[in-house]
Amino acid sequence: MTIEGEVSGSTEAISPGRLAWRRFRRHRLAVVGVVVLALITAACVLAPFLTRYGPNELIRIDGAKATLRSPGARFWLGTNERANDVWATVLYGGRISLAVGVVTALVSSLIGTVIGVIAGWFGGWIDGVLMRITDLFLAVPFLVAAIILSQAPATQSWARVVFGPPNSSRSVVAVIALVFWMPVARVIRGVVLSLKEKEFVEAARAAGASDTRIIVRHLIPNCSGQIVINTTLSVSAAILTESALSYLGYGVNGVTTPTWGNLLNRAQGYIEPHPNLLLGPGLAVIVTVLCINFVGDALRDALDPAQVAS
Amino acid sequence: MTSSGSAQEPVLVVRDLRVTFRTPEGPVCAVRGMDLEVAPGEILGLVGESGSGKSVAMLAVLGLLPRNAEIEGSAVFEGRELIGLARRDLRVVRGAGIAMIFQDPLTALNPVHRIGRQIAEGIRAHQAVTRVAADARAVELLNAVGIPDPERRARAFPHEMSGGMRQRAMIAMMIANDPQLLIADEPTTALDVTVQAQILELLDEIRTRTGCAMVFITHDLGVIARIADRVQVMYGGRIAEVAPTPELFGAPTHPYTVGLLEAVPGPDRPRPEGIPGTPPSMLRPPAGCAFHARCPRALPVCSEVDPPLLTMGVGHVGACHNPVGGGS
Repeated sequence: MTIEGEVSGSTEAISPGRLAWRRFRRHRLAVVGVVVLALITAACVLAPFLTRYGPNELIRIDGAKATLRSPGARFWLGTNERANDVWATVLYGGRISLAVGVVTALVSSLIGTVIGVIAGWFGGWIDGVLMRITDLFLAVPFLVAAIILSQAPATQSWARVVFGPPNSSRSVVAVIALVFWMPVARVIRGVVLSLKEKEFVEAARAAGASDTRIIVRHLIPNCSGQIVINTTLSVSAAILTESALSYLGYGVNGVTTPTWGNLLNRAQGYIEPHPNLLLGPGLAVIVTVLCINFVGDALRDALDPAQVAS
Repeated sequence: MTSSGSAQEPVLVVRDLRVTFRTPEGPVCAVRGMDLEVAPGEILGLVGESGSGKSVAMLAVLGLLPRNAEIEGSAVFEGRELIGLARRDLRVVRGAGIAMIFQDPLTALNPVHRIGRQIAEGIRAHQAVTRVAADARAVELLNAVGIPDPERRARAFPHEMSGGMRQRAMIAMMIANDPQLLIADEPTTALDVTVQAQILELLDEIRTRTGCAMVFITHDLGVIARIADRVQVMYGGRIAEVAPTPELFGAPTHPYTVGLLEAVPGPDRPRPEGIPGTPPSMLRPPAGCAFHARCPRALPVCSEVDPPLLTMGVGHVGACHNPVGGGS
């Protein structure tokens, strides 16, 4: 018996991953974005080796506090009103800001994926209830909700179980994740609704696969592109939200732990003669968010499920 | 109704199966009282045009219909009633006892998993084996369905294979758990003719080797003539005629069967006529015989009384008030 239509034997099998990488590489800005993000992350992680002072270190010159120095050879970005080295605060602050962004995106994607897959797969009243809850969360103005939630641990003991101590990084992560999962849930539900009608899902059922097996083996892998895209774009949105919350004074405690957001908050009163206090953390946020968005857009093209078989 | 001389107990016996879909427009009666039996080693062809209820009936047996479907009647598989069986028990039957081969293997295979892994997945859903053992078995199965270089092919993704190879992979997946019954839902319709012949040959070979029963759903009488031992013709959710394949082609009694046979192009019929009219709406099933409005032999009684199944020969029944040849 011979086989018709055989793919020529010399063609090496190309995995969907490699196809996606090929498409990703076509976006120059995204490739640049990846490099810049890697540099920023490395700089934040290696902060102790790249700075002369600690982020909260009071710097004295000839016994006098070195407050509000201009940028120069010794203080690359000058010093702030508390006589800290701005370069050091930006690098150490980036550790928290980046970590909060990434962890928040992962947590909110996880919540959104679980809710979206369950709603889409089981349908019926389960879908109805979960989607109405999603609508409810979407109907709340999220910055207001985030501010109220971030204050909850200070007075409510139950809130400390979820959010941890007030003004901690953990509380900021929990608060932002709680107001961020809804778009992911909606997108994933939509993808699952269309996957559900695919024959391979029916075939899996016909082969005796359980709900769990179908969700884990068939639905989630086929949603992975969407999950990656949404998580990536959530990272930039979460960094912006962390900055906004901290800028407003509802984020991570700026006295002990600098973040890009609370550095901006502290820079407020000194912008006129000392724009360096604003530009340091401000540029860090802008460049990081821009790069992540470039990468996210490229991923969207690279992982578009419609192109998997092209 | 008797099976084609086989003394063996039928593996699947369906009695008076009825499937009704509740829709906003009203109930749609897709299957209106269908009997079916198929014995080990037998291939039963289930023929009918779109909407005749042939696929719906088999999906109902497997419990794969959407929730708005109401199923009545009985379907006994190896002594076990499937209609109304709990989801958990039904899941064990699916795949391990009854497996289903779908029409388009490209859409029936998961695009993100490698072929070998997908087959192994089906094995691990029913058997307690290690992943390594299941992967090895998958390669064996790919070899058994005639895929050359099975080790390499097991690592391929569905889109990297040709249509015929994909259908072979699909068949490998479905025979992985040695089912007693294979339901093939138009498995060759999406393939070109040469590949179609190879797939039929493979299915026939699997039947011979494993002795499993097979229900082969199609609207293509050419395919039926090649593979089926016995044919059941469906029309409007009911049985029109059941006969051993040679008898159905040689001495059809139901006017609908005759119409179907005449609609197949042949040397003496380069431009076949087809059957005038369209199938009846199952939203409002007609009174009497479902075929009477299109039937050239219709009598007044046909629009009033639904014809019962009458014996037309050995292993041959038909539901017609005015059968071709007058019955026997």
